[in-house]
Amino acid sequence: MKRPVIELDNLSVTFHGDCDLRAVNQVSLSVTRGEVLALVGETGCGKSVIAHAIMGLLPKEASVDGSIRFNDMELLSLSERELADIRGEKIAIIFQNPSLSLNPVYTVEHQISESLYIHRKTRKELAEKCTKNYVLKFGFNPPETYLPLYPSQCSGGMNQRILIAASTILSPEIVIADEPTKGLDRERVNETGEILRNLVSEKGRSLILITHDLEFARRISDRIAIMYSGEIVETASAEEFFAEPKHPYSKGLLNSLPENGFVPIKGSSPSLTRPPDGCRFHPRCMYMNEQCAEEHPDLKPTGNRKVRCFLCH
Amino acid sequence: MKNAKKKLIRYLICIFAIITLNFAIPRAMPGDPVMNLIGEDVMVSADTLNQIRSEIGLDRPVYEQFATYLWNLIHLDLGYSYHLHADVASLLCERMFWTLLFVGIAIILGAITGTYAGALSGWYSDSKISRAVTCVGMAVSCTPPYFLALIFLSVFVFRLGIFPFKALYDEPTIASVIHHLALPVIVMTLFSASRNFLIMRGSVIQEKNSHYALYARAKGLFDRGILWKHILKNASLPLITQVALDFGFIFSGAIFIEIVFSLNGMGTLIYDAILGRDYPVLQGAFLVIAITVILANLLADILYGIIDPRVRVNER
Repeated sequence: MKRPVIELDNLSVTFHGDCDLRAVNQVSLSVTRGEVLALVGETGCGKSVIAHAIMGLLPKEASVDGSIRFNDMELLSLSERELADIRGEKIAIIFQNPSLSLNPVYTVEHQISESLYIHRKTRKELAEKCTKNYVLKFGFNPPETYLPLYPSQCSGGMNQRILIAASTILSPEIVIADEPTKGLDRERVNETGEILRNLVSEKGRSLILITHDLEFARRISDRIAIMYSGEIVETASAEEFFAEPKHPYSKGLLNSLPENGFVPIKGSSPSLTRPPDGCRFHPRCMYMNEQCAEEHPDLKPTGNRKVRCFLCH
Repeated sequence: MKNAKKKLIRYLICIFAIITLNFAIPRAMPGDPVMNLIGEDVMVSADTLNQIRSEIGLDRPVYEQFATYLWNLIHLDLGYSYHLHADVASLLCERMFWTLLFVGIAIILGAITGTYAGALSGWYSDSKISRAVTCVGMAVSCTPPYFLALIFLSVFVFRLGIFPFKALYDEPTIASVIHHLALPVIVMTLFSASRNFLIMRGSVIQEKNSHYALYARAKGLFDRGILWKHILKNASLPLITQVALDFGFIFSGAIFIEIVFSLNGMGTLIYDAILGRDYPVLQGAFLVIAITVILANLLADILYGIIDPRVRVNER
């Protein structure tokens, strides 16, 4: 068994406001070296919150419990200063909405090479050379044509690649990609998938892919974790998962794909301020029984996977 | 380039409109223009009046007068002040130097301190110091400059006696000029800094919640590094417009400050001209101020294009 690069243990995130909102509830996950883990779920299920918690980028009103270990380092106990040294260098994130994540008043070159200046104190000539070589991989050829541009002069797909390049130029051990395919057309999605996959296979880095695009997750991930209402309801290897999902919600997700007949899951996801008693999915579940409405199921192993459902044990 | 040309034409039209107004307004005034020109308190014979009238060309048709006016303007001839017995253009040049000197220093100092303090205050917007400074900034920006000047005059000149209370200098040395101008410069700086401070603070508060600021943090920038390296440039965009628009405002504020501190700059010149109905001087001064404000706006337009690439993109 390979040692995990990053390990979340009972991670919970609560946002304090007029009423407390528990966006992530007792999530345990781990990613090993060279692995691609896809975190899949509907909008608002807490995927991005996990990403931000790992990066230490949550707003002040959020409180985090549990533990996030990165190579034997407890990230939650680090100071902002220590976290700043890790961010971008060891763990990097690719945000959704690349056009807004890039600074409109700096050139593409500046934004891609910035990490070199922040973490490595690279000299200007060397950084320029590095950046030129690096962007070739992202299809910016010749680099001289693209590097002096500003984000507003680039298309959405280009900005996506620029953002990936900017986040990965220091080849961090873990890359978190938050909805990297959002708003891109098919061709750009394939291209992004290939870039991300190469990143992992070439350098032996790990990738946490956050998406609601099951098709995309299937193509590039090794393992998959399905989230529902702030909890993980099923984790399995991508192969096994797509062969036969166990949790009713996972089944519902797969059935909602066009090739499986476009069958929607009835109802809508519950409010996180007052999640339903018992299994959080029971109001929408077609297999529910009395136990589901009263008791909260645990995430238990069945075979090679883990499922949070009474019916699967 | 097409857009730059359009802008230039717009500014030229603006200047032309001001020149036309400047030409038309004194002629639309009631009463005899020549009497207005030389002042009501001067007794002159009818012959002299007629002589002056034909000298200035008031007996010719309006379009000819306008042509002459423009021709004179091109040759930097702004007329003659019968009150001060001097050429208006050279009068303005001499006085303008002092006003531009202290207003210019104040605007630059105010822009730097206001931007810097405003940026920090916006970044630490929840801290008590930031809130206290904001209160002071608001109070100063709401106080008319002449009132601020009077308070400073009363405290630092009459009570404490640290600064001299009138004139530009006792003897024409740099030290003396600095000593005399310090207080007016401080007052103007405070005034302009407080306005810039408030704008910058608001702008930074808005920008610090943007995606790119979060991404800068995700890249490993720490605390104020994000402010200086990513937010400052974006947040200063509204400030450029503000400083340019403020130019006229601060100029008019300077008039009162010059009066309070008895400085012989444009302000006192305009003030005396208004009291003595010295129309050529007023006309010249208004023209010069209007053109300065337009130039400041032109400068802001150019600066904006340099800082914000999105403005340049639209020009293609």
